[in-house]
Amino acid sequence: MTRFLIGRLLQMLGVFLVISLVIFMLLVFTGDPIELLLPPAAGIDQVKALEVQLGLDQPWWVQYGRFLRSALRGDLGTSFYFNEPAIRLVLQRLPASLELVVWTMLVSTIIAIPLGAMAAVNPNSWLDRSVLVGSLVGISAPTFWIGIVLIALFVVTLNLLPSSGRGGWEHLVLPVATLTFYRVALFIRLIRAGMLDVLGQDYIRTARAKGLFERLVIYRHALKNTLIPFVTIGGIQMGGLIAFAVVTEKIFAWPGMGRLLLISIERLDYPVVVAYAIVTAALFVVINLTVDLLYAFIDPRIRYE
Amino acid sequence: MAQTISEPQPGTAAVVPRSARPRAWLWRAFRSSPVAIAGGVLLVIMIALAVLAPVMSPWDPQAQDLSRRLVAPSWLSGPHPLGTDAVGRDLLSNIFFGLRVSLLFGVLSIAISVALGVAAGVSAGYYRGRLDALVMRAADMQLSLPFLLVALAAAAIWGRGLDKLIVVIGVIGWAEFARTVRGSTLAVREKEFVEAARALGALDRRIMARHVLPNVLTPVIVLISVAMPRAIVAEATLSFLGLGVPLTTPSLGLLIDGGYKYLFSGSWWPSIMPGLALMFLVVGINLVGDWMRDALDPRLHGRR
Repeated sequence: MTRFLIGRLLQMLGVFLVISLVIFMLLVFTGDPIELLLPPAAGIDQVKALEVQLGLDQPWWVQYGRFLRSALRGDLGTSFYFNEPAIRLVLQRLPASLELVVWTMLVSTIIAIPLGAMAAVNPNSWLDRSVLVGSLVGISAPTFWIGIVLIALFVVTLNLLPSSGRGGWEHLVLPVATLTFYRVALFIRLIRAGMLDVLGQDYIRTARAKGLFERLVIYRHALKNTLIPFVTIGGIQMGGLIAFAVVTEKIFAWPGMGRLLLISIERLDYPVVVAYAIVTAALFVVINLTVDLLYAFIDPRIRYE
Repeated sequence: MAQTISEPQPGTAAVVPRSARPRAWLWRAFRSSPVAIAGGVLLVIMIALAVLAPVMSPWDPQAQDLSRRLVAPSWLSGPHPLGTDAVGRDLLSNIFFGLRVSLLFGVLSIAISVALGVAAGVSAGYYRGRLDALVMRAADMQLSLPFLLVALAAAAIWGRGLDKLIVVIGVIGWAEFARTVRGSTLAVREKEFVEAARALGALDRRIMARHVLPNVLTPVIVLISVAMPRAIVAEATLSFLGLGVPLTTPSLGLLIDGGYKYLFSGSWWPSIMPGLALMFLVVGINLVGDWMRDALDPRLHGRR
């Protein structure tokens, strides 16, 4: 188990290095932050001075080496625009983004598991049919467009909820609903398909033949086995949610790190972009490891040697 | 797309032992499913609108007229059936051309994904060993990163452009195809006909292209039906974020981005309408994809 964890961590460190190098190099070769930071009338001396101050006069490998060395000390450079440590800027906005991600995962799972299971238990019932049609719309509608439709309905027409900013639960409803839409649809389809598969297995027939209550068969024996592949998909979806949060944060002016990313891309503020990438990569390591551990917990056949 | 639907690939017969004439059998399965027909009809309509955009459009999509900005939809009568956007461009014409861009984007980027993924998957599965380990490790790494996030990063760094975005989304999509194709190749390479071909002295290249490839294409078709809607939506999403195609390209995502600021002044059509068109296109592909998945997956036969 320990060896597995160490191997996994080393592999993720490799992913880290590749991500940071790729992003760093591409950023160095495109765009010139000096042009954005100085007024157009700035003299050549001012340009040179700022270049030296930001370390942009060095060749790229020196810049990357310096970046790596300081990254190991937890310092990912200073934002050109805010003149603050880039990592601090990103971490300050991380809780707001995680708030969206966690609530979305919770709400979608709570809605999707019972609906998907019930649809599979009663195939071709009205519930099954409406779940299928609903989930088709859900996986087909683009997330950002759902956000706009929700604003048109609940903010502009009904005037029920706020459309922007972070605050009480009423600020959370629309952004989370926007992100939940697709995931509920996807999860329902997965749970339904998984349940249909499991319900046809021999051990379910055995459990029924033993005279177990139908509810026990379905929820103890069938649903539990359906959840195993679901954990992986859930993990991947959670990572993807961090990306989709960028979209939601733009629409609802949510003060998360996704919005910071969009602003920083526009300003060519690349220390912030790199810090965002590193923080996101770290989140994936945590999510992936959690998924692996959950796997071992749910399915006792899996032991990591 | 229409081609793919009505014409099963050569590999179908080998993987689906159901019938000697897979074409007839697929068509029967299609006709007997009302959902598949509805999806097929929807998809054909959307493709027709996209292809015929220059003929069908009542206006030049780029023609701006500030005296006619944010005109409400007039539906069946009047000059602008779906209204105009914030700079007075006809929305219906822009949606037609936007569908064209979406569809073109989906087809081209998936073509790149399939070409890269199938080539990598077949050679990894056929040669095994070091190459296999390398390809699969790379695929694992790619798949551990969420699709949209990689697209977002790549697009942010590389800059706007339809061609760049096609390449980015196409390249990111390789891993899934590679993994699936490699799995099928591992099974196929042990078959007698491959051994026979080798005994007859066929070169590896020929064996892979003529004997392995046709027999691993069925799961590829199923994957395409999943990957294409995702690619199309990714283009719209990135364009909406301002990281996709340039402002002059008639993209549905750009239309929605340009329109949603006017939501609060009561103009809902510039953002809602293009999204609806995008959704119809994706629903069509998904419905047809669902049917193909059921029809081509031999494990599901006999059920339902």
